[in-house]
Amino acid sequence: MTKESLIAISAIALGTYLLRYLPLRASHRTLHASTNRAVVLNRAFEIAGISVIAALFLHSLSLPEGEAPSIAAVRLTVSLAAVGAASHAWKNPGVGVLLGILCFALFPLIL
Amino acid sequence: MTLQAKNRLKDDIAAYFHGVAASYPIVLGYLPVALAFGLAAEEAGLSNLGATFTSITVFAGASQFALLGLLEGGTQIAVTVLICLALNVRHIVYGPSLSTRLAPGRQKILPFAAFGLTDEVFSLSMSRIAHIPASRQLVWLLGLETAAYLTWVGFTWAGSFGGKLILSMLPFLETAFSFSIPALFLALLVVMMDRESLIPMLAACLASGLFLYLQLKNLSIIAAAIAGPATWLLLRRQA
Repeated sequence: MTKESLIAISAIALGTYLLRYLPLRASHRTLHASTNRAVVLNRAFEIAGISVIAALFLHSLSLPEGEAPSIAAVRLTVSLAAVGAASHAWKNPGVGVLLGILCFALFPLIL
Repeated sequence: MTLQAKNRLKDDIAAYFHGVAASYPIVLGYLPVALAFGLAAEEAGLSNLGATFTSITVFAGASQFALLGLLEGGTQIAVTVLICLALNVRHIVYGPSLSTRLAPGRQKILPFAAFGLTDEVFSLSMSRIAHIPASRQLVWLLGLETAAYLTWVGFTWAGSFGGKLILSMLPFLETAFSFSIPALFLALLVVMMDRESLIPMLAACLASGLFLYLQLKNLSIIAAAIAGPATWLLLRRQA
């Protein structure tokens, strides 16, 4: 590792930490006020959180490699449906993820 | 130590390990990505120590991969830092969103909890933290983050040390676990969504999809973070 790499990594680490810490600290103090404005702001940030997760989900989607696109799409859709159904039924994201991975891993054995 | 302090410590330890146990969907997701990062770092000429140091200090997947590409391409340090930080700008909304579900107090833990607030930790904690007793929430979050962090650092090291060997011995690992990240985000959405957030979430998806289509991948997260609440505010005003 060169000196330049070390400087870049350290600067990115510090910047990333501040991007996470400063808004958390500021909001932790202000969002708990009981004014109407704070309540609206609170819900707006909650919706922002759900929106970001939806965007991250879109980002993370990709067809599995090494298969025909149509089969890969079916495999992905079936596995995602399993995740959605299991998470809804058990109200537990962990169960949904585990069942989804299992479904995704076993799919090539079925087809 | 008084009996009250002892009981408090006992409750904190229980909450911490409750957080560690709750982290398994994240751990499953990080495993192949951290291995891949370690492997890529080794191929990019960053030593085993350099790869591990990056994961120890930065702990942010996308920007770490970008860093490798930029270092390999010989980009100027200032430009490299700015690009990687631009990739992490989305983290600005995580703190305020999570704060809506956190009880006030235990400010001393905040600086530590903030370090581990990655995409996946943020998403999982948004869905679960409201069910944790108010005084234990941040300790639970620390437990969740510790397991995610140790997996990330440990498997980066393993990837840079012997990633090729691990993936050649267990080829199914990469494929099966590559699905865990989208699975995690979808599962969290299903658990968290309510009737009021459905239309704002669809608006966010639309905005994000548009930016993805325009090849503006990083801006798409920010676009979603703005479009979702903006739609909710518009709907609220009309109602």
